[in-house]
Amino acid sequence: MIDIVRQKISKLLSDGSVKGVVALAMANGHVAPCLFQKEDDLEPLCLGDTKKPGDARYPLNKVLITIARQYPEDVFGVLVRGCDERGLYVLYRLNQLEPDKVMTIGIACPQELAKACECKKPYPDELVAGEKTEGITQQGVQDMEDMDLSKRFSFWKNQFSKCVKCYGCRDICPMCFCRECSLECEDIISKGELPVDIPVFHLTRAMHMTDRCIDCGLCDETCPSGIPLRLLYKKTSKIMNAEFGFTSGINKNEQSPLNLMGPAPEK
Amino acid sequence: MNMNDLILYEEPRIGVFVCDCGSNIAGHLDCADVAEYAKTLPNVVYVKENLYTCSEAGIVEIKKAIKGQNLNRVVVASCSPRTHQPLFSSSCAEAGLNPYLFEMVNIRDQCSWVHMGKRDDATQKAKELIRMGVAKSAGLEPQEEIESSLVRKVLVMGGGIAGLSAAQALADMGLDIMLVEKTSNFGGLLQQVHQLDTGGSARALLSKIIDDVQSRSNITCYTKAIVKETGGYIGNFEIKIDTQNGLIKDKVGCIVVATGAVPLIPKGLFGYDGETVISLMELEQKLKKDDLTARRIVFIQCAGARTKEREYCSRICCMIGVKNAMIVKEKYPLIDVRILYRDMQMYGTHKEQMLWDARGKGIQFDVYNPDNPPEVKEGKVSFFQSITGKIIDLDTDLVVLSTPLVPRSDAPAVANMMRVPTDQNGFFLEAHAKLRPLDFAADGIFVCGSGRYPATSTEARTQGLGVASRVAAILFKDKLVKSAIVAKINPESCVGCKACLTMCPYEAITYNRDKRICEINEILCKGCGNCAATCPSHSAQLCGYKPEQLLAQIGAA
Amino acid sequence: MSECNYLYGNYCAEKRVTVLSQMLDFCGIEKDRLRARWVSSAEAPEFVEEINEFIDVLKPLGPSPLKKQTSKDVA
Ligand SMILES: Cc1cc2nc3c(=O)[nH]c(=O)nc-3n(C[C@H](O)[C@H](O)[C@H](O)COP(=O)(O)OP(=O)(O)OC[C@H]3O[C@@H](n4cnc5c(N)ncnc54)[C@H](O)[C@@H]3O)c2cc1C
Ligand code: SF4
Ligand code: SF4
Ligand code: SF4
Ligand code: SF4
Ligand code: SF4
Repeated sequence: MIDIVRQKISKLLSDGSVKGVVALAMANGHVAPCLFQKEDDLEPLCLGDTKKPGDARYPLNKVLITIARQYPEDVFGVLVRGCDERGLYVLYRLNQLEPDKVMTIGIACPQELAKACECKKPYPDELVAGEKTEGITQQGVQDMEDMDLSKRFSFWKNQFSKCVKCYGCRDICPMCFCRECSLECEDIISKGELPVDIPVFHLTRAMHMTDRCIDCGLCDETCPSGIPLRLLYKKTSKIMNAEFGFTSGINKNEQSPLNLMGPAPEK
Repeated sequence: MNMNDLILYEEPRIGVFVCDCGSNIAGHLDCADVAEYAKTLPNVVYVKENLYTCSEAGIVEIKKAIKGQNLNRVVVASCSPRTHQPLFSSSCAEAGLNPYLFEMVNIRDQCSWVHMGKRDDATQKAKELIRMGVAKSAGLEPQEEIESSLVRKVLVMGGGIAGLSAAQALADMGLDIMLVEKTSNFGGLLQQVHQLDTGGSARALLSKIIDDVQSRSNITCYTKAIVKETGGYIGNFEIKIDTQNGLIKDKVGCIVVATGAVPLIPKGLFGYDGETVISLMELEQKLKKDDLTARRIVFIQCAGARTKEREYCSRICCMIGVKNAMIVKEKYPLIDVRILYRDMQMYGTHKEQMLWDARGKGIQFDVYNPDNPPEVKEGKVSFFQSITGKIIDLDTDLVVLSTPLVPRSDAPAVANMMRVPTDQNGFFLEAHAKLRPLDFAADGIFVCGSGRYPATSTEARTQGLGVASRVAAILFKDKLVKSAIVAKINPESCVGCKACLTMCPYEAITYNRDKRICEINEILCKGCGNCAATCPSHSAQLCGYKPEQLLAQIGAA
Repeated sequence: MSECNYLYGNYCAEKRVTVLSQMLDFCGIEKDRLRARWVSSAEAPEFVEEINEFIDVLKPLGPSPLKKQTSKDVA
């Protein structure tokens, strides 16, 4: 798989269709985001598989945003999995990236990874390498809904109280790009104090993610306290789907129902 | 730095005025106790209870206190800001205090009136409301009102009676008017009408008005012309008109939409064929040409109206049906005239009288049930007569269908171009049915005549005159002064996500590609706060309703 | 609903309330504690009725579980 990816990147770079490609590199035994600019420099390229497939993922889109802000006229390539591509669609909608300035190198995730993510669509629309595998039906949210109210309450209360307010979930999230963040607004959330404001901190973020979260799971992986954040946002996505028939990142030209004037669209 | 900036750095000195509103407030809660309590609130340096704060004496009291006590915030706890906010804030301005440093607390409509008979609870709640208001006022910032220039010219779209009337009245006031009519003639629908319900011919009424309009030097008439583009905002609209002599670009201060409506052609209804089954409008033509040969005429009301696909009542077709039935009966007393109806919509004393007169003339009225509508077949109309419980067969040689006025097919395009809304039926939607019936929600654009909703010519004319006075109230000012309650976007923190842009109902927000941020046009912004509520990064904020100001108010609750 | 002075604001708010109330429920907080209703300034009796009805709903739910527990946490 990696050879196909390497070939593709090399081609894009050599024919000048992109100025650089944001992907992953392996150096000194660590995986890190890297901007590849020369076609003969692709030796360290990796796909983020160390022990298990996809166990070293990074928000490459987020890196891309930073680069694109500096070089708005240039076209860049980016390595994407299914979730990354969904993220790009959302970022196009929110005007953080321009579709004609981005070229994707899409790879499909293996079944194993898809299962662990409960991923609805573990492959990008534009696939370069890898085999498409089936989407997984979501169970986690349903299981939580089946618990009774007081159980749910104590579950989340325990989880939320573990939070150390490191802002890792926000910082890793490819869908978070604000220059000023609500989670640092002192009128809502007290600064430098623990325990965190429950449930304001986590629900504020969840509300900001309702029409954005593309279910990549990076927040979940990052959280040092092991709070199942992804489950929380999976629920917002489920609501958005049930109420407005909307799934963020599924459609290249999507419009968020929350940002449309007028009543909710007819189901 | 001016005086107003200084206020931001000064300690707040808040004056609270508690109004008895006669017995409206004092009758249901203890104002003296409330006032006593207000004295204990942070930053409050002066408290006064008045019998009527809005009276001359009350206002003088506020002004005196601003000067004497050196107040830099004023809170009035009284009635509804809708009616009294302008009075109080302008009084503050007269005393030299920026009017945006005024805050109003409604302890009447939201307190004394809802808690009548619960004096203690009402008193307690009034205290809490005032505490919230005081907390918010401490964070208020002075604002500069926004001024812009005005073009004293008006665009009137549509040369029917509504548009003609508006143009006439505006011309009387000395304003310049561009009157744009799509067809080659002025007069609109009324040109096809024979006689009016009020007597006299429609032609005569129209000629008088049209001649007058065409003789005015300050009305420029364009026929066979169409407005192609509108941009800009109140006081400064930029327009493009496609005329017989090419494209014209100009600037106007206000726009009047008077594009009318059209009668439904009842294709496929009640056997309509345009010969023996015709529409009301076609009957008007026959009467005009005087070629009515029928002996037995049946009118069917609500033909194509108040149905599943067209739920509304067109309100004037009952009158028009009755009018024509009477004209027929007067001219040819031997013709048998029947009207089959669902409900008679003969509003107003004049039309009510018409209905009595019509019965007196021997016109027969019968109710039909829409679930079991009349059937028209080979010279017969059969319907279920509910009084007798029988099916009645009427021999007839002419069936007249009273059809509703429907929106013009190009109304959506006009609405789109002007960025104004239409209602569920496709008619133009005014800003508020009772409070602003001739205004669109967008400033400087007005609507009159049957484009807004089916209207008689008298109503269309009255609306046209009304619109003229709405326009004059704007264009005769020296300049446009706009409330400073508008939203602002912080260019430092905005990430250009355009979420605010899609949410602004007034199209006040544009995206600046170079700076990669969104920007607000203060003149277009109405201060609705949608953008502020949507912006994930608090970059868009509504002046006077910033998060910290609101949260202070909520925190004090 | 279609009578909003500012055209659409209430619809937009309604959509967000829909999401938030279900999120509260998901986190184990009774969704009845959140309510959004639109009452015009001319509808005083409706307003009183709404609030009374809301109070009737809230009373049996008791104080917020979070309020109780945070104060306990502090103590
Ligand atoms: C059968 C019938 C009988 C009636 N009898 C009576 C009666 O007896 N008494 C009475 O009071 N009323 C009567 N009416 C109602 C009367 O016709 C209306 O009240 C009147 O025509 C409304 O005037 P208006 O100016 O609003 O619209 P209209 O008369 O429809 O005029 C609108 C004008 O705008 C023009 N226009 C449309 N779109 C554009 C555009 N985009 N740009 C530029 N110009 C445009 C049209 O060409 C038209 O000239 C009758 C109506 C009908 C159908
Ligand atoms: S799963 Fe987490 S990191 Fe990924 S988009 Fe959603 S909130 Fe952001
Ligand atoms: S949590 Fe909200 S405010 Fe913070 S960065 Fe993400 S989207 Fe922006
Ligand atoms: S990553 Fe985990 S601990 Fe850190 S702020 Fe987010 S939820 Fe809290
Ligand atoms: S406050 Fe309302 S009108 Fe003004 S810019 Fe924001 S959304 Fe538009
Ligand atoms: S919503 Fe906020 S961040 Fe986004 S463009 Fe508007 S002002 Fe900027």
